[in-house]
Amino acid sequence: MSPLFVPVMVASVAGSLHCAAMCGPFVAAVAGFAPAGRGGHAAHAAYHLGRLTTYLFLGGAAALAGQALDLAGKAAGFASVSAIIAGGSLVLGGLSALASNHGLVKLRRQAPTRWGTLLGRWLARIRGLPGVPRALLLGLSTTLVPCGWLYVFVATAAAAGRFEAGALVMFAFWLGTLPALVVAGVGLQKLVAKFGAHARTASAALAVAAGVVVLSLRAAAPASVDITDGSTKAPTSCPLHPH
Amino acid sequence: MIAALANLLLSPPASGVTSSLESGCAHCGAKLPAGPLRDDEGHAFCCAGCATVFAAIQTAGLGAFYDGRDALRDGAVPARPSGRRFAELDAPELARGFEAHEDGTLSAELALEGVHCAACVWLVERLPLVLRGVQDARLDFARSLVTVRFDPSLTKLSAVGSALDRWGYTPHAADSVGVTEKTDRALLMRLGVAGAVAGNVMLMALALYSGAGRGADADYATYFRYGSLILSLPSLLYSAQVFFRGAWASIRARVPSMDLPIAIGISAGFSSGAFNTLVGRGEIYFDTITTLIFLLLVGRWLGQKQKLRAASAADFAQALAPATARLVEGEERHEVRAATVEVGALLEVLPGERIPVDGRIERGASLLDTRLLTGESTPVEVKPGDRVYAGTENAGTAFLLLAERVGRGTRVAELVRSMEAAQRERAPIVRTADRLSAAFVVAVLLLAFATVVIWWSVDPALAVDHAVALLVVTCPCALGMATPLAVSVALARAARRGLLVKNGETLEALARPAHLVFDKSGTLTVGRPELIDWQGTPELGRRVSAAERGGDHPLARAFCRAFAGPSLELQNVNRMPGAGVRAKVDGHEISIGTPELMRASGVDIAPSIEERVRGHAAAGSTPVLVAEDGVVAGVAAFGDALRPDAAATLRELEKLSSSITVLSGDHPLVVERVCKDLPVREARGAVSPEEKLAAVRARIARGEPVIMIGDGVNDAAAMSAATVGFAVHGGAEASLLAASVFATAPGVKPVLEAIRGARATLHAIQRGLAFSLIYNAVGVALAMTGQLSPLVAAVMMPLSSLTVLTSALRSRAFVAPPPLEDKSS
Repeated sequence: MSPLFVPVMVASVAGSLHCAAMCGPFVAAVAGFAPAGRGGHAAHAAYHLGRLTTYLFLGGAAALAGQALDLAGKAAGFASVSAIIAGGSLVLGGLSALASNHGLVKLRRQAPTRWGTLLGRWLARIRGLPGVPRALLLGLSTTLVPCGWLYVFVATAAAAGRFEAGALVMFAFWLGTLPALVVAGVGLQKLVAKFGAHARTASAALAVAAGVVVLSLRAAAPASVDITDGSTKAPTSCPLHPH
Repeated sequence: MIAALANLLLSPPASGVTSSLESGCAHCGAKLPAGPLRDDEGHAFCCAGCATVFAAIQTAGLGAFYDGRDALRDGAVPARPSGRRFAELDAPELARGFEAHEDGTLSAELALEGVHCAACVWLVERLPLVLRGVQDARLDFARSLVTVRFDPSLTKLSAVGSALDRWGYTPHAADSVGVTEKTDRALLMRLGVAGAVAGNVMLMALALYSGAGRGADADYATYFRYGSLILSLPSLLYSAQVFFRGAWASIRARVPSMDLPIAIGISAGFSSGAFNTLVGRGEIYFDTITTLIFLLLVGRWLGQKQKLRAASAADFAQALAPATARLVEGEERHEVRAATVEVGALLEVLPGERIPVDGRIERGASLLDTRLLTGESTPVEVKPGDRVYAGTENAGTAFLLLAERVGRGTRVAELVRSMEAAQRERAPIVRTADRLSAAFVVAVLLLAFATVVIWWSVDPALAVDHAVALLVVTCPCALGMATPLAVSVALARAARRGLLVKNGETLEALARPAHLVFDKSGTLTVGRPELIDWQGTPELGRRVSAAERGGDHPLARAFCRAFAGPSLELQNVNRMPGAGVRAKVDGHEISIGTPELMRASGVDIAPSIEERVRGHAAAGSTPVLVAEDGVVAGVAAFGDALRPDAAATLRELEKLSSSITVLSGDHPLVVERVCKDLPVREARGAVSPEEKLAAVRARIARGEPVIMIGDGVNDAAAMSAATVGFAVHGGAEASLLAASVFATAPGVKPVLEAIRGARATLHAIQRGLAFSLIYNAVGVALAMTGQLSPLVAAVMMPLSSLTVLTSALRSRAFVAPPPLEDKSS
């Protein structure tokens, strides 16, 4: 089991309050205000299955991209490029989120409604489908929402080194979000209103922590978790030149 | 249980927190950070994710979610933001501008983005077949304006807008300026993306070529291949959309367009490259494809820059009738807006002013310059009771008129409407390159099929590879650039020589033999009365011109132009408007006036003089007598004089055209006199603007191309209906706006220059097309024999484009002034 599994899952649970608040409407759309019964259960299961599928693919793809970066980096003489980039982005992203949450920095303040409109048109199209396929599609579409919290975990997956490792990271994330989304509703709005701001600070801090972990785990000790062919040394000459 | 959950989501326990703008995220309700994200309606969000989901829910029409949530929370239903697109088209303010018909239907105008070729016109005009309630859709290609006639009880304008948007033509309310600017920017962005992608993919290709055959590490090869594939995606999915949409429109409308072979080449190259990348063997062509997309978009961008923006109906009306009128109330005069004048109002028109409305003269007599409206070269005398028209100029004294037809009811406004209608009905010209593309597609597909068949027996995989190579190398990059390049060069050069041409299609139409229809006044002739015959001594002439100096009458001015000289001693100048001049010049009593005036004042006129006068009148000129000291000493004839170069130019034009006709609003005798020695097949006078339009339309209906050359409002409608409208220097603004070519130099010579230049451009286009076809032939040969590698393809493409570019720059269009052999007399 990857050393990242448990920390990822814990972090995911901790930050899942806002997950439920933001993706709550998706869940409601899944339920479709249908009468209680087995149809409803199947729909919810389909939704979470859809979510899992897209997360796994995203994690795997991110890991592949990380692998490619590592290859390029190796050619240029750097090791573990993906870990450095992923970890660095996490740290920087978390720090800037902390700064903007506490008013130290004012970033771009125009809401990205154009993407939302596109997403909405897609939603309108699948609205007419029957419950279970619709729920599956909704689950698959959740990664289209620009959720910073999700990207934290995708970045971590990118540093994981292999397709399977990246997918595993995202599986851990998915497990962590399950409780909140399934139980969503019980006094949720009240909770979010009260703790929402704190949740943002906590998740930003967690992002920084994750970044530091990634940097220390991967960048500093490439020998134990190297990716391609097991060589532990960076090449001393450019592999493109025939010698 | 799920329903319960859903209900719980909708009915949270009441708390002190609302999702109003100030105290929580509009979506999730969390407390907002110090600087929250805001959308256009002012909603605040805690993060981009919430903002996106909010917008998505609204757009999907699920906004009821928020209503339910908020209603239960604070007991009031907030206003729902409109998530439906094009709802602004249903706004009542806009509906007031629609034209209502007797059967209850409405006509509305929408400005469209993305209209770029003849196929688009056919597609847009298919709207009635697709949308219930739409009776008619007419697209004005030049202005990208569609006029939709629909039944408001069956469909809404927003539905029309959505339908058009789905096809790729985003609509806007017709008044919105900047539609062309938006299209420009979108194309520029695509161009930028394509260029960036092409550069990067070429770098990767360079790496692959360097490593090919040298035993490069398989990992690196895979890396670069995947890298090229992923990098090409933005170019394919975003930048190349222009071509795919154009190809689709072309297929649906069954009108050939260059987009079709381009789309085929790009798709074949990309899909085979993607396949080969995924299976890990075979050739990839991403570098060729992305460079192709980039270069083709450059050509497309050049073509779009050439489309000059056409004016709107408001501009036309502005140019013709004045915006203000002088209302008479008792002894007072008020300046009012011409649009507010009512029927029966009394208006005053001062000398030099344009008449604002149609009406009858109530008091006062004057001279009117009606050249712009009717083409008559001599001023028309009007007296009380005569009908006068908006747009004509008062060349005499002030008079009062009673308004009869105002605003949209004036003759001038009707002419503008018929001009707009004619523009809409005129079919856009299909370019040479597009005509070629239909045959090209068929040929290429046949050759590709042949390649597959030939190589199948050898090795099926190779067969597909070679067929793909063929499709990629024949992708018409140079072909797509040949026309815009040659046209760009031609238009720029023409503009420098004072010929403003609207677009490349106009050039191509000018190059083909057509029927030339000339207006007489101002085009073939100078356009104002000139002294064309003088019987008398030069000293008398100078004395007359001294007497007439400062006169407003066009004939007075013509006299002064004819006899320039030192100013003589002038006394007792007595000017009688419309009746002549009497003055003492240099000690002689000079009297100038019409023969009727002379007879009335008792001056003796010799029979020889009378005969001369009759001769002039028969030839359509205006005779004027000059009496010196009581005796008729000089006879002047005024008429519209032919321009000095007209005869020679027309002879040259005769060789380049199908026929030459003159249609003029002037007196038939004048027209006959002017056109006596000209190589004109038919010369007609007293032709009204409506008759001109009908004549042009009749020819067009028979399938014969017409080039209409004129300078006045009376030509504007005919110009709109003609294949090419040619506006000559000095013309009314309406004719400028209706025409596709405008000559800044006076006379007929610009027409000859334009046609010669257009032919040279057509040759340049054809040369470019020929070059690119040669390259394609070589490429096909190499591909079919299996010798085409991506490297060769990548080299051939810029080489072919370079050849076409050089050929375009070496075009002889509009280069040196053509020497005109003067074969006259």
